[in-house]
Amino acid sequence: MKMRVKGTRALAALLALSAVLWGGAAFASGLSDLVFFSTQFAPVEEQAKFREILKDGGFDYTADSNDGPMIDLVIAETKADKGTLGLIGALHGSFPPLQQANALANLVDLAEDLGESREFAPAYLQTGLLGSEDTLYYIPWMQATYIMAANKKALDYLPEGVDLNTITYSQLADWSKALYEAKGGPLLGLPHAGLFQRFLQGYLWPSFTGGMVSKFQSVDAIAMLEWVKSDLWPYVHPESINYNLMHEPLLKEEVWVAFDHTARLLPAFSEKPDEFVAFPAPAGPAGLGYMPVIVGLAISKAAPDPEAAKQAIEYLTRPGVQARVLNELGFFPAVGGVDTSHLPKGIAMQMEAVNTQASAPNAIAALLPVGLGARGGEINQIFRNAFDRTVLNGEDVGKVLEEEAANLQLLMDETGAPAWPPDPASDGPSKVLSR
Amino acid sequence: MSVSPLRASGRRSFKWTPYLLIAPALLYLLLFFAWPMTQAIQLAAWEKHGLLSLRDSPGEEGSVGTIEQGTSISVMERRVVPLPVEESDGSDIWFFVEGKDEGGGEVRGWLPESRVRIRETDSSGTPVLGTVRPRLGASAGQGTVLHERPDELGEPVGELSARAEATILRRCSQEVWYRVEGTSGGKTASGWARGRNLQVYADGDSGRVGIGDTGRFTLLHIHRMLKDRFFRSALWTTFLLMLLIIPVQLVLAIVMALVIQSRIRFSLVFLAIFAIPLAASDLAVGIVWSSIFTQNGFLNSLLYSLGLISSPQPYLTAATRHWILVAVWIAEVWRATSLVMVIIVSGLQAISQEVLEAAELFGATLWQRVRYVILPLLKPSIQVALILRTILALQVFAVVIALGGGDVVTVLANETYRQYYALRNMNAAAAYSGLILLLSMVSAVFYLRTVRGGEEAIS
Repeated sequence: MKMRVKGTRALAALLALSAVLWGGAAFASGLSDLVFFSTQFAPVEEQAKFREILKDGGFDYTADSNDGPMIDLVIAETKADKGTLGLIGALHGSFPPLQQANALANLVDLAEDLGESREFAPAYLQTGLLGSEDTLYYIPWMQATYIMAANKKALDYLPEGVDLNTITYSQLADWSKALYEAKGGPLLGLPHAGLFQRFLQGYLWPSFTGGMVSKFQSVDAIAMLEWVKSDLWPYVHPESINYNLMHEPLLKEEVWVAFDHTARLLPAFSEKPDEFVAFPAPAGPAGLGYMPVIVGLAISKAAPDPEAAKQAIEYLTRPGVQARVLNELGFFPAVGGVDTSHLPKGIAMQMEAVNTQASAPNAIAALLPVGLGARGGEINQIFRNAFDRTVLNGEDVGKVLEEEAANLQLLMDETGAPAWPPDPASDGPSKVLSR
Repeated sequence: MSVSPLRASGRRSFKWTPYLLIAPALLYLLLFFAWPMTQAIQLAAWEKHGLLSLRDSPGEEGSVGTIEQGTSISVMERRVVPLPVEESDGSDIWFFVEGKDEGGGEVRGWLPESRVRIRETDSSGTPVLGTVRPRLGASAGQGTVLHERPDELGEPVGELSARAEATILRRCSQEVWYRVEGTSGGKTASGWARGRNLQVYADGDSGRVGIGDTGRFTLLHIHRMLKDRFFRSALWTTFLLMLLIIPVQLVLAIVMALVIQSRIRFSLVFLAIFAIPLAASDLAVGIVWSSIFTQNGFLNSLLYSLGLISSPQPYLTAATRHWILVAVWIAEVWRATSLVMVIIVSGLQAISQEVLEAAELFGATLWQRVRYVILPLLKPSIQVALILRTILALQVFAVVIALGGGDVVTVLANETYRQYYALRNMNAAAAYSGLILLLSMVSAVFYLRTVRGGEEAIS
């Protein structure tokens, strides 16, 4: 009995102590109680760095790389008209379902106010409109894109006369073949379990056909998939179907050459900047297709304290803060006037490749799908189906493209999404052209 | 004539106790079973915005016909219907403003609410002063046109540049209605519809039904599931895994249970070892096994060090998908056999020692005892184990994701997840989960009818 009393007292004392400590910590940190949910910077190392940056502005955040829970939470909170999430940081593609559910506040006035002290690229504000005319669903926060990375050892096998800055797809295939033959195994890696759909929508299709949706089943697209199947995929590492983040196989030297999102290649460049090179994506017969990625900051209609969220947006879009994010986390700024003169080597390498890619004379910017509402995931699946069925499963290319083109046209008709670049503007839903 | 005591007492007072005792269970069933089920069925078979009702005249409520969402329409007439501001429910509000244009000249005209940022309101909350919002994106830098009437097709009467001050003199609310005609489901319907339900193309003569206002029963979502590229392979793989996993697990579990029950030395140690996988989450198990089977994993280093292979072999690839299946099979057997074992052990412990001793006394061999005494008496436990295991096999998910990425080898649960998270198609996800539920129920009924209880079997 005595023991139990003692135990209870000890427990009570412990509870009291932890309460005091916790309260003290909250008081000492002086952080705003704004709840900032981000789908970016979810890995532990990134969290630590980003938390430091936010702390200087008096904020904190929570991160989860899956956007599903965030979307569900925001929609549920809007329906209940009772919110906890103050600020949302997510990829462009996460916002259309929230737009559809009418869950986001219009930030057009905030953009006007912020525009007085910093300059947003008009193209990024345009994507933030999500196809509307006057409703700004998110403030552009950061940008990124997809580029190539190679282990320096692979450069010894680069076919003669190939310049990495102007590499073409057929040169990439020759190079991968040379590596395969010299090393006895495939050394080119693609993130098939990761953001592979962007490689298809933003890189392969535009580079070979000049379009995305319109040329989906064109003769050029058939030739492209046939070529990938016979000339490229045999030299792609077969475990690519399990690769999500390409820095892992690059650092493990399972692959020597890889394509991925800049943020997903960065750990390789940062850890071993002397062992890797960054270079732009290859060009195809139609040009160098590439896809810019935009990360935005949005405020839910049910946000408990929109003013605090606006202050956080103001802080995060300051050029100085954007420079810190670029320096430490490798996401490129969404506002002008950011100092890029003292970047760490790995990030400087990436930045050079990104600039070379975007400023190439034959560059074709392929934008993210807009106007599909909550069904944005389906277009990704259609492109993936086209690739998987033909290249992985060996089905007939023409037939598969015809079937998937019908699905694609159905999606466009059902959502009424007008065409977006690189496809020519349309009146009414986008059209998948027939052959 | 005698009255049974039960009936007599029943007449005197109504017994509430049993109903009170059963109430929590009923409440539980309603809350956690019936309600989510109806929601799921609604998601799978109901199209919320499937139809658009057409009206006789603008603003009227009675329907004169319906057309399906997404139907192409021809637009015959357009009419702007003014509404009192108080009555507007999300319809467009327009301001009649006065301001100075670039040249300094005074202009007056109508502006939609979305172009004006309100700066001042009077005591009753009515906006009185605003500034013109700057245009964003592609049309940045362009001014904002004032119209002669509250309608975007109204004649332009002036232009204000971004951030110009605008005094708000009046406001009104309006709704645009179109008289349209469209053919869907073989029937042509025409009538009036609200602009917000339609998507009218730039030419003004054609368009499509953007979003309906009436729900309807539909097989579209189920059809979409059946037509889904992954449907067949997911169904097939799920069944194949069930067929491969369950019999092996059952045999292994019975053997393990007999080992533990035999009271040989260290049988408790065996129990502890067998039970370890019970504590591991399925994703963790998947990751552990993927680190074994991956190209630079433990399996290849072992084979390599034994000199059986000359270079690491890739197993978990699209070209060798049978190996992914084998890996999933091994991981699942390793992970979930102990669950079956625990149930069998508890069943074994319920068998009376006397029966076993009697069998031994009559000279039954070990095999005979297992075959004719233990197994028949174990039937109730086996039934429970089979039902649980089959339901769990229908839910296999994390192991498949960890070992194969989820694209090359896929199962039903993974497709539910893909539809919900990746494609954000809740309707098709509900159809998939409904299918899993149906299969679980069918399998449970099947086991309940085929694997009968022990008593009659032994007699």
